[in-house]
Amino acid sequence: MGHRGEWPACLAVTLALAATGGFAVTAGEPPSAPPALALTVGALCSLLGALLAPRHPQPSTPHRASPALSRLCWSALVGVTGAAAAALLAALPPRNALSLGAGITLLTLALTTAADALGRRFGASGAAALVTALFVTACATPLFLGPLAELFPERRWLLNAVVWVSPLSHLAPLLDFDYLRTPWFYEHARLGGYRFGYPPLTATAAAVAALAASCHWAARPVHPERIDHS
Amino acid sequence: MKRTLALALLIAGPAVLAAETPMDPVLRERASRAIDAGLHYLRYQQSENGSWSDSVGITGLALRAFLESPRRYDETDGAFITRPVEFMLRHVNDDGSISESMQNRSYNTAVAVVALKATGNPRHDSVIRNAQAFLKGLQIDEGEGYTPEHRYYGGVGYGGDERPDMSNQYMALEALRASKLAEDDPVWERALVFISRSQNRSESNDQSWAGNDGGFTYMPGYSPHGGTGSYGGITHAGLISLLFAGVDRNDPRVQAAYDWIRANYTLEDNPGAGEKQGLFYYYAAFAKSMKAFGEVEVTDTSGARHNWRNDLAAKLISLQDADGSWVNEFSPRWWEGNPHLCTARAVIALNLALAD
Repeated sequence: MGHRGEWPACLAVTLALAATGGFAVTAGEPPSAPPALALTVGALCSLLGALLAPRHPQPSTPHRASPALSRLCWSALVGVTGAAAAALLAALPPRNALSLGAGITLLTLALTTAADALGRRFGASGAAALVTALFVTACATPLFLGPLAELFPERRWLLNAVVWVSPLSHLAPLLDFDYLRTPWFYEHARLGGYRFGYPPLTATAAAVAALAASCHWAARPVHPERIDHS
Repeated sequence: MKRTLALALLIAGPAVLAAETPMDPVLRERASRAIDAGLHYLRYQQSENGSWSDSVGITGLALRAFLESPRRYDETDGAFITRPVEFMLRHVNDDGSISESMQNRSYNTAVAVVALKATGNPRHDSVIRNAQAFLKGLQIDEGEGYTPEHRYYGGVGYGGDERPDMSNQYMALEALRASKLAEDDPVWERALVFISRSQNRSESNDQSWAGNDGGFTYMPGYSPHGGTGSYGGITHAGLISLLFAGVDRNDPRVQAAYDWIRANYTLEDNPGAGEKQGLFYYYAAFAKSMKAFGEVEVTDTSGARHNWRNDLAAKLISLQDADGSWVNEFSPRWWEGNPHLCTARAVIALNLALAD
């Protein structure tokens, strides 16, 4: 499992994120709004899954394939757990639960790979903090980059880019949930009045593959003395 | 006596004629040419797949513009009519919706239903029936765990579980009306609960924020233009919705909405919206509500009389580009930077102005 020293702090950040995200998605809705709850659960599980994943700080182990396989198995486990939790809490139909499980798996895989790669440069604590910060920032992208996209409304690729950066945008369509038109996001992200699209699952998978590849490349051990063995 | 009568007729005749004639003949001719130019533009902007802008919603509006035009195009006129129909039919989903995307399912389906119905082709009846059932199912009611006390009750949103709004509500009701939903269907009664809660009229709106100007806001407790203020496009949408739901034109809610329109009569902008946002949405809703309300002239609160058909036609003609298109040059919000959308809405508005 993740290093015992940093995960309580990350858990606190995650819970704060869950509270904020939960409020943002469900504000104005009755507490039982199922897709909003499922989206919050999905995002939370993905981040927690990455923070609590078994760490693989050394890329040059004798069995190089095993960390990747381990990450994949762990992510799948998180996906199954997250989908089950969302299905129970939000009474999701089986089709949406299965889709959400696939989405959580992909997102967890991406975050875990990133955490491992960052861990080689910044240590496990730094990586956990960075992954959490990046995740929160990415989730909030439609909020702070929405006004920028509004300046170029006819450039759909720009609008889509702003939307697609957010992990929430990858999970929401799996729930048939247009979260950017929930009252709070509609008011604050200001993207609801423009033409944008949510990413298909294939785009999510491609993004995860690209992220994994770039993480491996970026984390290659250039200067062995900088590797954190903590 | 005869001379006096003749003189009286000579003086009063033109005024009587003006009041009874829906539209100035010269303006009518110019508006007809503007429609032809707009449709010519749309015809040559059509994609290979039969759509406009790869959107079921925009395609449905453009198709409606053709079908309801004075030339009354239909599916026998050629591929420029049949291909958009086929495009929409290719996007019929298992749940009955007609949409190319997960978001906007309600709007797209509603627009497609009205367009398919306007073809008059019975071959589309089963698709329309399923789409009608989909739209009915979108209405927020006890089925989703909402009680009549909730501010969302009776409303229709973009097509998910997000939240309802008056814009999607009016589009859905228009489609349900076009597809001949029974007058006694409970959908109409539930819809009235939401419509009343979106109107700034505290006598019929139980929400604490409700004002008293008679206009409509986007949804109970929120306007994208700030606060809960009334604005033009949605007030016309509200007036149409009340009439679609079977409310009599003498009902105080209808009269309050009409009074807001009288007090804010203009075609220069979408009153209350600012920056001319949603201008062509406003023109289309304006034409629909004025046509449905049935007055030839609107007397504003200062006593000035306006022939809305003449005013609308003159304004739209003045805004048309040389290539026959229209676009909102002031604000691209609500997709109005898209000339296919604005041209379709402008032609629909002109079609209604010219219709007897």
